[in-house]
Amino acid sequence: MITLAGVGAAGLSGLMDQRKPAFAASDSAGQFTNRLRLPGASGLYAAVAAKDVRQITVSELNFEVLPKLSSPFWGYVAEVGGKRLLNPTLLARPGDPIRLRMVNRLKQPTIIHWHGLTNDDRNDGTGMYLSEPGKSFDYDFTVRDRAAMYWYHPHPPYITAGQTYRGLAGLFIVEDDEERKLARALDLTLGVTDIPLVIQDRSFNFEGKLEYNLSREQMFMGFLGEEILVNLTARPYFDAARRIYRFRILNGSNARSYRLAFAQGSRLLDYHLIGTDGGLLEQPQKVRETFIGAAQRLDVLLDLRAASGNEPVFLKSLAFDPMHNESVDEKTGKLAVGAAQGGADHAAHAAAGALPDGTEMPLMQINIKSSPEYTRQIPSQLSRLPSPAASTGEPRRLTLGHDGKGNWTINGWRFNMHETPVTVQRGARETWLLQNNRASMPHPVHIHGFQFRVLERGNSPAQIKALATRQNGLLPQDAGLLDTVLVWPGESVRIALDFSHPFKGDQTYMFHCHNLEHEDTGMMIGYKVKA
Amino acid sequence: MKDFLLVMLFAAIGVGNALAHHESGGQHSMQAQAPAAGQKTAKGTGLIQQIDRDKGAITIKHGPLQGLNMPPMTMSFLVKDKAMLSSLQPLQKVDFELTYDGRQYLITSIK
Repeated sequence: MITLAGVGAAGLSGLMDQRKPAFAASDSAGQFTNRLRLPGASGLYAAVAAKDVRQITVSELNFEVLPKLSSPFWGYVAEVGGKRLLNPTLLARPGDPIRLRMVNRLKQPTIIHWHGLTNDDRNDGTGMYLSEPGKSFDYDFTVRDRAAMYWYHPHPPYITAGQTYRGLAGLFIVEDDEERKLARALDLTLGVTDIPLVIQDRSFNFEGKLEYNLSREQMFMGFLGEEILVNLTARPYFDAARRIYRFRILNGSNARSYRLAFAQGSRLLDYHLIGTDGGLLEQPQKVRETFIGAAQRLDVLLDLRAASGNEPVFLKSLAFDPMHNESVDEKTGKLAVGAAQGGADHAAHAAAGALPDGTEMPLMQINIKSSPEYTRQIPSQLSRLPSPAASTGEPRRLTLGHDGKGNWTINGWRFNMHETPVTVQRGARETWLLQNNRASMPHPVHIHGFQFRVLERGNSPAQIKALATRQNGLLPQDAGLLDTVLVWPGESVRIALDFSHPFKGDQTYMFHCHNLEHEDTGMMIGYKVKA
Repeated sequence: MKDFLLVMLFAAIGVGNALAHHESGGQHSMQAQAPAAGQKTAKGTGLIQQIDRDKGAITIKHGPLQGLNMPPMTMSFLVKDKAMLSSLQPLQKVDFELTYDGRQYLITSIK
């Protein structure tokens, strides 16, 4: 409305942007013109042994996110072997020692959180320890976790979203013998046929510079951008051979969820889910679509031999109901009297030009090139996982909701650095029941310090229930180890946690929504693991 | 509300004129040679969002258009000649000039 008023004096004969994807799935040909950025020997995402990195400097710099357009950008900069790396892809094996110094060259405090890795609270980067501007912080830990794609990003209280948005995020890939066996079986090479994909939505101003200015209402919803980037590439394409590709997908967006599928024309291709946040599943799960919430990872195999002809395949997000149900009546689930419809309310608060949550949109074009014959097959067995920890006693209930005053809460609590409203005993096995109110929106819930298993989903919305493939309403990705789980409005998710770890003394970790704007505005609590 | 509806009506008429004008190809050059009285010109900078090469339209997230009292926004414009779009790509930064004759905007140069 502001724009219309401003135009009034001169009239309006241009066509106002209608807040829809600038490219629709059906007319996306020719729109994907930028080669996908991949981990290389230097520069962005360069792969390097984590134990060889001695220092990471958190820097404000300029970077061409869009081709030939320099934008202010915040990055993790490392120098290894005379090469300058930006947001390096850190490679490690279980048992590797990580000793590095983080130097903060920002004008605000920061800290690195090693998302998904098992660490003591000092090395976890919970935000209780911060590095002030010009200061440094030394990390010293051992890689203790299974092979998987983890990631690292900022975690200072109240200002994580902006720091991550401006560029601070990198991958931490742990490899082991099982991984190498899979790579040999399928002839996979990182950066060539084993492709990490970091999906993030961003907005740019009219000069092509990254833009992040949110109103209070937009903070309540979470950031929704105008462009979807993959590996910081806008409208990317990837040239592929007719063979199996491994895509390790991180939803690095601040708030947006995606319903991921591979499509050739109107046909959805089958793909295999082989891993989640905490590494390989026991067996591949054949799927056609999978939801991924902010901070989650999906490890998938796509067999392009199943594609017909040379028509491009698109990684896309299918349309879905984003369930912005903040305004429904909690008891009836219906629209509260006098309240705006959740979705409409959400659209009104979204930034002008932002792609609405749940919109169908292509994310990446995959061009199929001629290639030598490839005859490998996906192994039927990938790994072995221990059974979920059997707990004793009633589940611990944690309810996700809002206070009606624009604040998201957990059991009615809001973040307080000096409080840990939940205490567990080291070595205890517990079941937690994550209950999302009806009057809510989807929340990707992240637990620091421990990975967990999903035991049951209850009251799942129809679009989730339709994807359940196992008893207890479980989804294919629930077969794996997770550090983040997406909980939909009205849904209850029962998870199993084993609070065993080797760290001495009491440890304090965070439990929070990984919609980063929610986290920053208080949807986070500390919990204590008592020694 | 009344003002708002008037603006929307004006906008709708303008859009219709813009498309009609565009489809009657030859008028472009005629109008360029004999600009209407009171025609305004403006310069702008922006980021291309979408290109419709068939229709000869381009969607631009632009900065302020000085002289037209136009604040930053995202709009679709017709171009004087479809060939002007041939070397352009989405998410490219462009400088452009446009005319406004009281009914419609038309991009006359873009690079």
